[in-house]
Amino acid sequence: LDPLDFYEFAKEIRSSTSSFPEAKKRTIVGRVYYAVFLMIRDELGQSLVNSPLKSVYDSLSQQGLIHSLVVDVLKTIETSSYLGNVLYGMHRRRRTADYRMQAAKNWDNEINDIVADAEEMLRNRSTMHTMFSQKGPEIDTVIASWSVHAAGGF
Amino acid sequence: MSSCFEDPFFDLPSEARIYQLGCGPSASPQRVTLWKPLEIHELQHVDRIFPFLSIGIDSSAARMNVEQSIEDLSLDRFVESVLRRLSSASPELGFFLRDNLEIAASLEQVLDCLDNFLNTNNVSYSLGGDVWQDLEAPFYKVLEIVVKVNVVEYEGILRLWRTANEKIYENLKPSARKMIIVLFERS
Repeated sequence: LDPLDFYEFAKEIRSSTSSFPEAKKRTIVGRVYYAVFLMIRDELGQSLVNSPLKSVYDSLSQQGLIHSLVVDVLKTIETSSYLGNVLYGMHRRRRTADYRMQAAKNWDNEINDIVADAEEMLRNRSTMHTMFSQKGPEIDTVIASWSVHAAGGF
Repeated sequence: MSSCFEDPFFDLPSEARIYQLGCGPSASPQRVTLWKPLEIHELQHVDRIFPFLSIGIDSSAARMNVEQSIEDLSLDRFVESVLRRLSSASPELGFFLRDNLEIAASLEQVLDCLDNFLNTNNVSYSLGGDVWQDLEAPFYKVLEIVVKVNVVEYEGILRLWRTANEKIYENLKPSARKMIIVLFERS
């Protein structure tokens, strides 16, 4: 499955009616986040094909901590931290949508904002691809660090 | 410890060597009623009485305690000054900054830049601060600065943010750059 299918699906259900409008809007926020996050996670994994830490990354990428790990990698390899900040912001919206049932939000605004963030990340897809291929040693360092922490049982 | 309170101007029994000291170096010491002997680290206003205490300190251990107290107080004041710049701040943020002075200094730098950026663009805003810890990876913490912006100004300010973001972050130390995240929200 291409992760960006989730993005197209989110757009599709946005224009459909539902008997559960807030549940639908929260679902859209989550699907938009996952589309972008999974795209970056997988491209990062592909860039590690020659890295000794490839298997470590593959293992970590099946765990819940992978969301923060990907943000950490982005913020490490980009001096402006911009894309890491945007992805963190998307993750934060997703956490609110999925876990904070009492959160009083304007969910239409939340969708508009996370879609704007997603478009920004997609516009920078090739930039990220280039950074992943050029910043191998820095990425390896971050993954090794996370691996040590994870192995320590937190 | 009471020997630290020896004062050349008063001849009091050691148990009674506690004075109420005025504000600043020009204030005069006054004798006050003694309730119980105090340890130096128990004093609430060590910085205010330091000029007087320094006369009588003859114990290196006591001096270290005083210096540590003053250092703690200075740290608290610095962290408080950073927190005061936020409209809302979680208690966790205060604890975190006290334990991470370098990050606190970087946060102050970010807040300076943010204020400058937002004021230059005539944006009305409020700032909130919190610490987020990943439950899946408790060693990973993020310091969130949430900028709440008027809905009407929101889209425009986001467009300007990318350039400002770059300028702000490129001057931060790597540890702070990774940890501090500025987020925008509609107010």
